[in-house]
Amino acid sequence: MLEQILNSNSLPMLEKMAAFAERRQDVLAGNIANIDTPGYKMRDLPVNEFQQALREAVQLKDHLSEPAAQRSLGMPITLGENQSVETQLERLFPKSLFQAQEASPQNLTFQDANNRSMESQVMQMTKNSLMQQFAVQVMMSQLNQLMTVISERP
Amino acid sequence: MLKGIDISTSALVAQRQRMNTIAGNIASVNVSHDPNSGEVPFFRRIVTFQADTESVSLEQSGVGVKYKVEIDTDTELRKTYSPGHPHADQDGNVTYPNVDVVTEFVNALEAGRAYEANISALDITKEMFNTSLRILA
Repeated sequence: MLEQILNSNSLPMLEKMAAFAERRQDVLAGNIANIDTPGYKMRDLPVNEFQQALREAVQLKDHLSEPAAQRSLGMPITLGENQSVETQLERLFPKSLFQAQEASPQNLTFQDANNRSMESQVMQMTKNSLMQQFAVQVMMSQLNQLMTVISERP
Repeated sequence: MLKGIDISTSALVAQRQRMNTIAGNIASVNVSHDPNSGEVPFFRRIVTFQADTESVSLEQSGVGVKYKVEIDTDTELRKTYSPGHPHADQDGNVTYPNVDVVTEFVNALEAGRAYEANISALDITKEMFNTSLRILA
């Protein structure tokens, strides 16, 4: 019961977003740690693929919410029709999205074969941190909403 | 998440060691005598960095940094002609370490900046961690 309520809004997707941002933070921290390492190539998680997966998840949720809302109000909306939410999320966000790979070489490669760019790394890190904060804030407000409903007080 | 802190810390340790080594090089710039061997006083030390890929597989997550202190015996030692010097050789030359102060200062500057960058990364990691903790509140 509670699980269905918790999975009915965008909480699962926000959770993935926060998890992704936290994972990416480790990778970006590793890049800055190796800013003086000869031969090191900047690494990153597949951000575009993740955004794509997120878009698909949102579309699937929108698609599923329509007939479910018509069926009956008591029926909670979940991400999947028959499958559990976990398996659906597993399919939409495979593990490969959370694995670091060498980023495509956009920057100048220096003589020591390191393609460092402090500016872009710090900018990515800031954006990433903001994305994580956004996900957590929205998650919190949704949970607060649930709390309001539970306590029956505005 | 907490791994990000370890990664940044590994770099902080490495950069600090680099700074210490540079300080040692600059301190020994005018050393002309080694009481033990009596010959070459001091060789310049260099800290080399290496991505720490052994403790983590590359696909898993961020990579820390490892350092090694190495001795530079390739660069030629400085020789100065000063015949009256107590450590002068037969030709009147005194041998000084192969330390170039300008190079050392540039490296020191770079190490300092890299240290700052890692502190900033650490701050962002901490901030994210605190944000996550706020879900509980």
